[in-house]
Amino acid sequence: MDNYGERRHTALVDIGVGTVLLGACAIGAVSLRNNRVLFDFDYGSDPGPGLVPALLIAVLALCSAGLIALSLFRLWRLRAADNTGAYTGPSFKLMVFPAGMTLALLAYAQTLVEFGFLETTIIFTAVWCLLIGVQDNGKPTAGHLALYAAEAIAITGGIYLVFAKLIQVPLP
Amino acid sequence: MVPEILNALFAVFVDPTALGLCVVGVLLGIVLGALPGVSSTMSLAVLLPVSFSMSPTHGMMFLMGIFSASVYGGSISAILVNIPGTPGAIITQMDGYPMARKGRAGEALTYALIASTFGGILGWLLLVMLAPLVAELALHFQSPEYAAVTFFGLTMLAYATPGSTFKALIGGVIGLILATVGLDEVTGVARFDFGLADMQGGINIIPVAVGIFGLAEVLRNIESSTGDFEVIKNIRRLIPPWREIRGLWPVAIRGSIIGALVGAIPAAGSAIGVTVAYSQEKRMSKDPDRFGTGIPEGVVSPESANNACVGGALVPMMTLGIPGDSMTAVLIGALLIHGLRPGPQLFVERLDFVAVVYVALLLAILLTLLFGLIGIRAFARILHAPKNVLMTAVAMLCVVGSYAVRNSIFDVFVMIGAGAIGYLMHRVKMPVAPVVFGLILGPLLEENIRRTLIVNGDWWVFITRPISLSLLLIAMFALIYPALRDRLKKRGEAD
Repeated sequence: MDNYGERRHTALVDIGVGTVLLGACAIGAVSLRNNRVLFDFDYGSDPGPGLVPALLIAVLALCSAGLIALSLFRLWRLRAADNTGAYTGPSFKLMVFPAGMTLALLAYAQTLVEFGFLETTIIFTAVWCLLIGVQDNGKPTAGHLALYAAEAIAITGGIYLVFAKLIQVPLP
Repeated sequence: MVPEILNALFAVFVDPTALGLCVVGVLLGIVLGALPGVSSTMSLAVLLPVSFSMSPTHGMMFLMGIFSASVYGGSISAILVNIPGTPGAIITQMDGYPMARKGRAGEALTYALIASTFGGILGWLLLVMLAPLVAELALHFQSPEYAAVTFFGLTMLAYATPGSTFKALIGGVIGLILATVGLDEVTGVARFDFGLADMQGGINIIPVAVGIFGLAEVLRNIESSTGDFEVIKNIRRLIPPWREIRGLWPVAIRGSIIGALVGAIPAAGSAIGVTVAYSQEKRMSKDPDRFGTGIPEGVVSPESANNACVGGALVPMMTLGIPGDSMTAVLIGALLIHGLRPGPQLFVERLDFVAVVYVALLLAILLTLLFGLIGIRAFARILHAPKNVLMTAVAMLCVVGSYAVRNSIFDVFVMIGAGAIGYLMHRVKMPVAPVVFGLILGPLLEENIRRTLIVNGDWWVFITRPISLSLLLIAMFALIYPALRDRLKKRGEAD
């Protein structure tokens, strides 16, 4: 059973999620509103291309508001209850590696076409084999470093052989 | 249907490439399914792009091999490491690991393999017998029924997904909205393109599926060091006592039937089938307290259900175009890439391809049994694969696979975005599969809503047509039931 801290954390996170979704709905609604062709044009008996997106945005906005309302209600009930127990769930520090990899992948995708597949992929795989290896095994020795380099070459070569040569996908 | 299946069987046996691809798919499926941190859906999503340049037949042989074998593969790590390799193996570990700790690891693995084969074949039989009947029924569906069944599929997913039904529903709506991005198919008007030419092509299912099921899992796995997990290495005796095996056939039959039927419910998935089968077996047992201590029934029941779900899940996928679970959602993406739209028309226009799917699944089941028997001890060694190699390789496969869809870097960015969002959704305990389901079902839902309104002119037709009304009522009940159940439970506890 979750304790007070965990339930409070969940409620706060849900409020954040609901708020972000409401913001996305607002952006979507503005986009629909600015696209006059969706609603102003006469499509005959067809309700037009604006109906379903508008309905879905409305449903999502309602659900997001509902999520926020439910979470606020849970927070209010928690205030009246026994407030023992701190939050012991996963911390934000756990997001460092995933955030780093996401940013690295964005940079990798950006440079992929410009510099080519082999060059960019060798660098990316070498860096991440090293980083994840250090995360699991600690400070690397010379042997570890050589192994990580070999792993990067093997991964890059393997993927290149399968995609470019075997199934003939034209890689950058 | 039998002549088509026999023709397909003959065609496959005289085509060494098709057989070879099935073998490769099975081997990859067992290996990837066995690895902790790599789920069946992830395996299928990441390897799906490899099938793009293949013919539809070859692609199906390869993907069915992965699909079927990875479900069995999950039991290997469940039994030897106490970490399920796939979601369906979560129940298997409850008795599989204790059984391994008692020195019966080999027997547990053999039980898992034989139960998987038995369940897989029963699920296959259900698919072959039931699919044509459902397709025949679906041919009489008109737009209101199609729209209702799509809505039904999404709400069943929300209901069946572990965790919050409400959050699963939100995920489904997000997927439906993503499906509207790009040019409208009927009028050619751009929606939600924000002035970007790349967005006018819409958001392709494959990069989103690869991101959500592939990259998001990589990001979860690299949060922290997993440390060394203990792997039971002592795999001595593989063949269980015959007297014990004889007594387990009723367990396998019950598990298989439950798994196949539950799998056939749109969006239900193997997790539910496995849980229902295990609970039922425990309820029927003369000594239910033995479950969880390492008994063969606790392995045979979930594994037969797990693999029977494979055939069952293909029923709604092939006949209605609605995924039976997240793996069939990925398979739908594969069919669409090859220009094949799953649904009842497939049984009219491409019965030959339907037969190929049947043959591919049956061969995959039998090859899994063969390689499983030969390589039980070898597959166990795979559990020591270094995490840095595995996660980096999977991340690269996600990138290259997404690029391969349309040779577009935009799809790579979509994949990365989907992966990041999928990871964040895991962190906030929001189910991710509904987003992919919504993306797949969105075009079908919109097309049929608009067609209904064009033909009938009003919304009442969804309620006046009996099949449509029934499906909508069941869907609404599935949405309301979890909240009602919780409220009644709290009231009972208070009393």
